[in-house]
Amino acid sequence: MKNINIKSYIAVLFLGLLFSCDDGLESINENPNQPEIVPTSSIFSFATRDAARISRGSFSSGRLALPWMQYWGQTAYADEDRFAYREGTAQGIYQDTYLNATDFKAILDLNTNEDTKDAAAASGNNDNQIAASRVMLSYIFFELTNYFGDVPYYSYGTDDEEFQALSIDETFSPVFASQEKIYADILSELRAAADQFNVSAPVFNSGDNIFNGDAAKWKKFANSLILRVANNLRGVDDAAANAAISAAIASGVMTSNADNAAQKFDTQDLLASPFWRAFITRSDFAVTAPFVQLLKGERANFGPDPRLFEMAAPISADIEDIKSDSYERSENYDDYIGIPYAFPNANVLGFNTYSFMSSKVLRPDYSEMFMEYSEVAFLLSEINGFSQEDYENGVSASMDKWGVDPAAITSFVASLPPANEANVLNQKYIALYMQPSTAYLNYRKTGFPNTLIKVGEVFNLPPNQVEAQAPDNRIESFPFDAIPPITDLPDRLTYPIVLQTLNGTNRTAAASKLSNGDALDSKLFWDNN
Amino acid sequence: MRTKRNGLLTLILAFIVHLSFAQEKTVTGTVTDQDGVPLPGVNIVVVGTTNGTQTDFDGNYAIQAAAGQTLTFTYIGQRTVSLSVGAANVLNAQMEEDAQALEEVVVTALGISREKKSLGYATQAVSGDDLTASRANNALNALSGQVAGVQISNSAGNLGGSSRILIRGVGSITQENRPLIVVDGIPLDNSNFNTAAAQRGSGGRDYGDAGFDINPDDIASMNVLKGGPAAALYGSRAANGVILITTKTGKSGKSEITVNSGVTFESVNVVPQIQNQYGGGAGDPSTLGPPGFNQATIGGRTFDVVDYATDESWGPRFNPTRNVLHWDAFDPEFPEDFLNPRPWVAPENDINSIFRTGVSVNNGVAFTQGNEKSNMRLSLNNTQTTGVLPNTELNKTSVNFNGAAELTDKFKMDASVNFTITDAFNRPASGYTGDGVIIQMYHFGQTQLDFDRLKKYKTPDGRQRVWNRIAADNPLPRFTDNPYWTLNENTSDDKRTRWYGAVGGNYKFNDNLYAVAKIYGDTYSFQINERTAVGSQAQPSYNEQNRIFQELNYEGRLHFDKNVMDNKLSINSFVGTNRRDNTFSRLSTNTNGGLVVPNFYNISNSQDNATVTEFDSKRRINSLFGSVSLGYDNFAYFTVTGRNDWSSTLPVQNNSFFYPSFSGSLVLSKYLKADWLTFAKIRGGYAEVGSDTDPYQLVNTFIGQDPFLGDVPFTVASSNRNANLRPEEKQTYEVGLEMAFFKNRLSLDLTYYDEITSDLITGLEVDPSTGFTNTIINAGELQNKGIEILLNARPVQTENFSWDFTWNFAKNDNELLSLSDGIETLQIAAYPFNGVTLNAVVGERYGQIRGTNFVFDDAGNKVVDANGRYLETRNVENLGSVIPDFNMGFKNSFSYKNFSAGFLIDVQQGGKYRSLTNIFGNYSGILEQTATNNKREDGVILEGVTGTVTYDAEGNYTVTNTGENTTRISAQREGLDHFFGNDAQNVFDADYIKLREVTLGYNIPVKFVKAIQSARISAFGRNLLVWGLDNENFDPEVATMGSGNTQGSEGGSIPSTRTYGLNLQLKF
Repeated sequence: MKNINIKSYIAVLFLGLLFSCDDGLESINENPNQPEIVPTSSIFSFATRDAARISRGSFSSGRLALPWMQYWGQTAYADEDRFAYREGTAQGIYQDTYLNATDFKAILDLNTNEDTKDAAAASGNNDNQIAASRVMLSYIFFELTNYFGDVPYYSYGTDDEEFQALSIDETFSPVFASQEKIYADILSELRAAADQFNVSAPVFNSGDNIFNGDAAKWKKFANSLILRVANNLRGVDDAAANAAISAAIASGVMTSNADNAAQKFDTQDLLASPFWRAFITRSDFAVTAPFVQLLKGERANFGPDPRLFEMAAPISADIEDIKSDSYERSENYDDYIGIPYAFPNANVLGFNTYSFMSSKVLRPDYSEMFMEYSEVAFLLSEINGFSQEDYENGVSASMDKWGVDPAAITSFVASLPPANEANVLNQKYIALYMQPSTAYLNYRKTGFPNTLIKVGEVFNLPPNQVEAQAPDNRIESFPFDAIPPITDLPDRLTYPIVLQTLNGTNRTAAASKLSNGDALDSKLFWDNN
Repeated sequence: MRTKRNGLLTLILAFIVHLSFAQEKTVTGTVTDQDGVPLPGVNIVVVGTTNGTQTDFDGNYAIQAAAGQTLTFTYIGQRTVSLSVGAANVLNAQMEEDAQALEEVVVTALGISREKKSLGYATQAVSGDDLTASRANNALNALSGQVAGVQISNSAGNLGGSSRILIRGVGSITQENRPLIVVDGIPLDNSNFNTAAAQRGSGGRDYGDAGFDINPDDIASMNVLKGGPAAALYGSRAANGVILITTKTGKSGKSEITVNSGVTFESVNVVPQIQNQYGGGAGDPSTLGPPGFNQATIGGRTFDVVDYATDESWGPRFNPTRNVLHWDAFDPEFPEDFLNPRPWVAPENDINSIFRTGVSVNNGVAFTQGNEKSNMRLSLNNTQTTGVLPNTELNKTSVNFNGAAELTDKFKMDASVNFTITDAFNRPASGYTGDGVIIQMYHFGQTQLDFDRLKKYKTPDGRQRVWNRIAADNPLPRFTDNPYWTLNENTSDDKRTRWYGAVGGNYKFNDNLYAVAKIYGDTYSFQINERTAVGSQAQPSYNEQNRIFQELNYEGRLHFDKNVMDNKLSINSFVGTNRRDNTFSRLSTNTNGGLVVPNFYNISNSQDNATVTEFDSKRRINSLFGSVSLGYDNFAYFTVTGRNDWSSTLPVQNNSFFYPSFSGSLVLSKYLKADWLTFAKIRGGYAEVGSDTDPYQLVNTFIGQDPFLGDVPFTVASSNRNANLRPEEKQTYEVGLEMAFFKNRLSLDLTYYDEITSDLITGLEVDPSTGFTNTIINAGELQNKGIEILLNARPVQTENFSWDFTWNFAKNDNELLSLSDGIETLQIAAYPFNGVTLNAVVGERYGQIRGTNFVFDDAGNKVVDANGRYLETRNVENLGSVIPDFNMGFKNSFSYKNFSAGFLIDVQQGGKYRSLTNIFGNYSGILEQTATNNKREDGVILEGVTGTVTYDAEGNYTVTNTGENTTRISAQREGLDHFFGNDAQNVFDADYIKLREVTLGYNIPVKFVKAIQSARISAFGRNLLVWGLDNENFDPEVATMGSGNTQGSEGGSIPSTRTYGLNLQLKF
């Protein structure tokens, strides 16, 4: 009996020891669902599309920048039009930008790390991949810092103890880099990237849905972005701005619409442009009255602008017909009426009382523009003291891009009032239709366009929209009633509330540097208007 | 040698018994207790045969037996009596109360039975009868209010919905906090597959927990192992306690057929109160008074029309003399309504009339049979349930078989097989989603809608008729579908087919040594599909998810039990080993871009390329464990256990972890002798338990996306992994006191525990500027300490009447002691809208709701701004924890002759929840409070003061110059500010007092039908009444939309329900 006793104990112990030496345990934990390494072109394909989605989404753009710049307004629940944007919108812009940056950083790491760079080269030239990723990082960080001010920042080329973003192994609580440093570094990154491109080699063999791997175009995009960034520094740090601008022009900026940087989308709903997706089941946005009035020649001092027929649809066009590009086109300006901006009772107006966007905009494969030649031309006009030639180039390039008939372009350009600050910047605003974050940047910097409805301004509804309301209490006019304390446009967005929890000390430090704390009316350093 | 002699003796005895069964006769008699009161239901068995019976209600019995045979009389709480049959035909028995009734045997970890008095930790058992008394459809929900220290919340209105179960609070921040469920040794998976969106209240269907598959009628008892010392032997996943379920088995000496039939009715209980003075319309918050009607000219006639495109109820005041065209007046296919104005009045069938009475019909039959060598039980059960929302249904069928046999004197085998099909049709979606109907009832809807009229939701040619039409001349849905379209056309199916069971053998080497080998298996497939019909507001779609789960456990143990020192010292010991293998796979697929063919639901019907996602996971844990228990002279007991786990989910260098436990008890009453003292014991224990984590937490990866313009895009996963994870560790101290007085008429069980979990494996939410939204780390310490009190009393006991009373109370203090360096707050989940989050905050109780607060002056008044609207703090604040201060239950049972009755009151104090329905129900003018006191005409002056608020750089404020608020604002402004204003106004206390159970039973005298052994009819009710609510519109339990850590978010829940019904049980 004793024997069995001991033997059995030993047997069980032995079994246990077998288990403990089970070297299969490690292989059991190999992830069968997600790879640890992938081709860089496949990361780039996702990342540029995501960059467009982040800045052009139905919330970041549709319920924030587009209405704030009075291109589009909401057809119901116009709270965001009065600047009561949802917390999730600001949080989304902040969070998604860094997740997006992580993808670009992964491409940089894979092309830089000695162990992986040769494999990464299968997707394209290492230097070109690095340069293109730096351009995109500059683009998205520029958007981000212009919304919030100081933000945590990552730089590929610069070691600075303030640049602590995207380093989770170092810190969970990155400090907020000063916006001045961020501007300086974006200029330096773009310069370095433009110089890094090897124009005789492709950038990516596939997955580049902006320029199809054309390094020369990427280089022009980098230089053109320098103009946008440096122009915003003028009057604040002229020396740095002018140096950057001269170098960029010397290196080569965009010269025609063929150089435009636009993200392509697919025709399938799932992979379609952000606003196509927003309109799949809803009809939340329409073109606003002040913008329609501007194009009809009723605001500012331009004549009727045929781009109206390309940017908006006549009021008779049903939203389903716009989506299928089957409505009857009209070149009669009277057929276009904008939705009253920030009208609290907009939802009682029928869809047939105002203009939606055109089929050129509302289509699944609409390409979202990161930067186009006409903006470059307007920037050059501004840099050259509002030069007439660059101004005309800008207007005609924009009209050409929207598909206006060449004869109509010629006659419209011929009838333009002469170049000056207001005319150039108002035309730049029209050309930036569907690029509202850049228009919002320009507005804060310059106060133009001067065609927006101001807070407190009374707007008179057109007769068709008065008649659409209940006879008992028809509203014929209403003042633009923004949320307090805003009297013009917000100067910035407040930091996402979650940062109070996730990175409290550094957020507080950044907030305390703002002129009015973490509030909508704290001006950013470049905002010298 | 002694064993051999024993065996021989048995053989000889058996021989004698067999020789003497010739002269059978009818033996009759009466069985009484020590006071001479007849005892009904006493089991009587003729030893060595399968012949058995029970006493009737008067304590009488009759049985066939021969002289020389022995009858045993057994009855719960009484000492077993054995009497030999002699010459007389009458054999009366008097039973004696077992003085040591607490000397009950309980099932402990690994299914090992131990005397309760020897345990150094708290366990609390609930009998199957108690669990099924009120026919809760989920066996685990029936524990609510029954066990001290077990907190259960369940959103009752969801058909078979999720239950959040916590034992002694929350031990882990982001990992599993639910207990392990073990059925007859089989670790039973209790996964919850609800989407994150569904759990945080932002919309989805509640598919419930996999533990729902247990058939309540098969349960003999549930035993809750609450603390570390009790559960340590189960290893890493028992860190949150264990619910041990023992199912019924065949009893020796009896064949029995039990038939059980019942019907249960379910109706909504706590529903949001709706205003009935104003109908749909947009209103204008800047003015007082409701708006007028829009007009439409149709066929030359001008009509007043409702503002259909607005999904709010700030419209005109009801006026029976005003006739308007309602939503259903525009379809010529319905001539009686077409262009036919009807009065503008509150509807006959309002929003809440959508609910119906759900019916659940339960039928079960169980066969048991047994003799000394073997036993078996087979049960079949079917439950068919319809929900409180139309067109929702849940059917469950289960088959349970278990059997055991002694093949030889040394070798026993047992096996069990359970087969369950849980098959639901159209479990209702809730939360902020158009997939469900709640959103258009309490969030965004119109109060004049007659829900009976909405039932005509389709035109003859199949187009949807919707109240929320874009305009009088545009019939398409603006924001929302017709609720009956949603319920009838946009349906879902889910089906779980499950097998679980065990096979095992037990070999006895000698009296002291035996070996046990077991294989436990649990596997199921779970299929869900969801449909959005062509013609809906949302894009038509179809999706299907298939999950396959499997867990196998291989276990071997060797036991050594011996009594030495003249039986004064008992030794119980074993060593064992276990291998656990989990595999899980999920294949999900959905259509894109719409459906090509209407009403055809198949992935092949996708307009664009369908999306397919695959997820597979594997986990293995190897274990070695052992236990030694010593008992001395029925007085002192001591147990030490140890276990080492090797987990595949941790890095190789950290994947082995050992944890011990020690526990002991002293039975003081052995030496403290007093008349009034029946029993006294003190106990104490210490345990460590380690936890591993989920698979694939160690290395960062890329996530693949749908093919795009010729590439398959990849993106870095937003969660950062950690190659240096260590096991999470929990340390538990526990002391307790058990006392019984006055021959067990009163007993008390007190427990104090203190548990600290450290090195928590935590998905830490981080500033996204790190490049990730969260990272997996070992960080922090979480403490739970608390007391549990269990008091049992029998205040009244007479010949015919008895009253039993149980009070259980549990208070758990939870505090997050620390997190990672420099991090004070960890976000567990984000609630829908306004940045309100659920958090773990250092120095606070787990589960803090964080959001903006009212601004208060020094005197505690709410401060309003210059426009008379409540101010909102700039910073977010802790608005309270979702975890309650304490829970307690009062249970009373009465029996009088053949009648029995009982009720259970379940009390929860403390805890918070946040209500999205309160936000939008006020925003949209639907809730009753938006129309009280004529506020729509007169406006309202908010209670508060004016003042100057000054903020410092950190966002802290001071209030000066306070004064009376005299500014009148519109009711609509007040309503809208529930969304635009601070978050605190939508956070409420989760207190409740519930009449959780009421039961009434009657044992029908069945002497006249020979075949029937007993018959019992019972009536029951569950959740009949609720008191003490902070906000009368919501039952706090509806803020449970999943069984995970995301809790406290009411996002548009289906109202809570009450159930009541009848049940008949027959035994043959």
